[in-house]
Amino acid sequence: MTDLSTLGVVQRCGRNVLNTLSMLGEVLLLLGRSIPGPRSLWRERARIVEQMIIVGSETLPIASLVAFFIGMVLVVQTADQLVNYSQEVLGSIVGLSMTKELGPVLIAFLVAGRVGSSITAQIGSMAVYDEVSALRTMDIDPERYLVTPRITAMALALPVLILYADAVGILGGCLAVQLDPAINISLALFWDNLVSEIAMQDIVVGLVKGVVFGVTIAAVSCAFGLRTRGGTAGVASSTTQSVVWSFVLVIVFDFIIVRMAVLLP
Amino acid sequence: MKRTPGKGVDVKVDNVIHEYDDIRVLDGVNINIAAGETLCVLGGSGTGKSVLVRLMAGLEVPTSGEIQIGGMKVQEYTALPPAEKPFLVSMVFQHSALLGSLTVEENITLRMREHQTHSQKDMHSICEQVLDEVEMGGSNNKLPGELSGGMKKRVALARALAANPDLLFYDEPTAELDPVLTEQIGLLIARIRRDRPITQVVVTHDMVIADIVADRVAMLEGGRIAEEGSYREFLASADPGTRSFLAAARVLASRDQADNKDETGKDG
Repeated sequence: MTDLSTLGVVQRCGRNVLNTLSMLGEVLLLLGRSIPGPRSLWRERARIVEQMIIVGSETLPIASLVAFFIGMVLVVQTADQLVNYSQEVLGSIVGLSMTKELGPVLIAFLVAGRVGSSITAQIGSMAVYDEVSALRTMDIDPERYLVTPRITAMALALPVLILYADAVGILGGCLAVQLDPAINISLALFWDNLVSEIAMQDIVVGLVKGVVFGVTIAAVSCAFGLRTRGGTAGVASSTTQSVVWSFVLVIVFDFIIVRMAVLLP
Repeated sequence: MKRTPGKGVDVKVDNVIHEYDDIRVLDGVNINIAAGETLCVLGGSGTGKSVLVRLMAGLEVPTSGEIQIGGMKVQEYTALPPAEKPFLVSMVFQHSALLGSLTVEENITLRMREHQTHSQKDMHSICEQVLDEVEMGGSNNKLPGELSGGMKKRVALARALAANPDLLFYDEPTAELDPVLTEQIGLLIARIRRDRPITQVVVTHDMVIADIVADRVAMLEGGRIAEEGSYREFLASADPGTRSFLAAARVLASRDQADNKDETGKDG
């Protein structure tokens, strides 16, 4: 029976805080042990490419669809807010929103939901059915074999996916400008404003976010997979937790990167 | 490719205690296994047999006590880089533990491929050799998902043998198998015992396996080794726990045999 007394609530909160800290510690340790050196990168190249293909093929179709509609929604929504002002700034608003914030976060959430969850489920099943133990008895380090390729692939694939989502989102915005009768600026004006306001630094910040988010999602997904116990129920629970924690950490790191980027000259 | 079989190493389990969340699973296990010996650890479900074999294989660390394999502490052995290991340990798991995305050949040669110890040609030759040994020749390109439970067990055994181990652990090698397949796996393990001078530790609750493969049997009960000896001595045991285990096992074995006869009759 659930203990609803003050002490019980405090105990549960304390246990949750300790579990959270322990989980974050595990993720950090796993990350520290799994970041590859140049030799390891070369050795694992086939598995890294394989994982990159998985990340791309699982995310690209849905990312295209979502980014395209987000771009259109941005234009329509912003134009509505600017109805009493000039719509000339639409281009910069859409461009900067996509490259600096929406592109990276959107792709990170999609990747966490589609790829991160499948990583946790796969490694979790391997842990439950002793495949991870089998690797250990073969003197194969499961972290090198399973985690390193996934972390590297995510770190490389996410920035590329973000660039792609930025482009598709802007394309969606262009289409909305062209087709929506409520928008009274030309496509050329929209484009000129967009190109003149986006600096290389904005794109680079988006790409840096991609690398950080990719590493975070992969490390969290692998850590939850490796700590899975208790059969299929354990796999389901680990998968849910890994997606939730990936979302939370992506937002936390997003804030940290934005705050640091603001300090840049 | 002609290969020298493993030589066998001794195993010494000294007063091992193991706990999970304050629940004591093993409570002072002592057992010595000689090099080249095949020991069957028997016991009912939940007696800690699998935990004991995982501790011996270095997959978990005991709460207290010490396990030595080949004269080395098991944790020291597992910490050694693969190239510096003086002998090799392999394990066959309860659920076979084949990697689902790899073919049979890729599973069998995984260790060699990862450690880059053999050429492609040698790996293929070793794979053919061990698949023949477990009577699974020709299944190189199949995925584990295409194999039956018994076939998976054989491939898992082939993967363990491909390393040419000196010490081979089995965790419930016949779990989820019917009596016919159980006997076949037992005969394979017995053949390995005959052909390779390696040490084998077989954890099982199956008396058929113990009868076919064991040089010696140890009964795990209440977290301790209740008794150990030859299979015949074990059958004649006066220990009440062993008597009760034997009584239950005989009932199950005779029921399985009757079921099996019925199935054969239907098929025929």
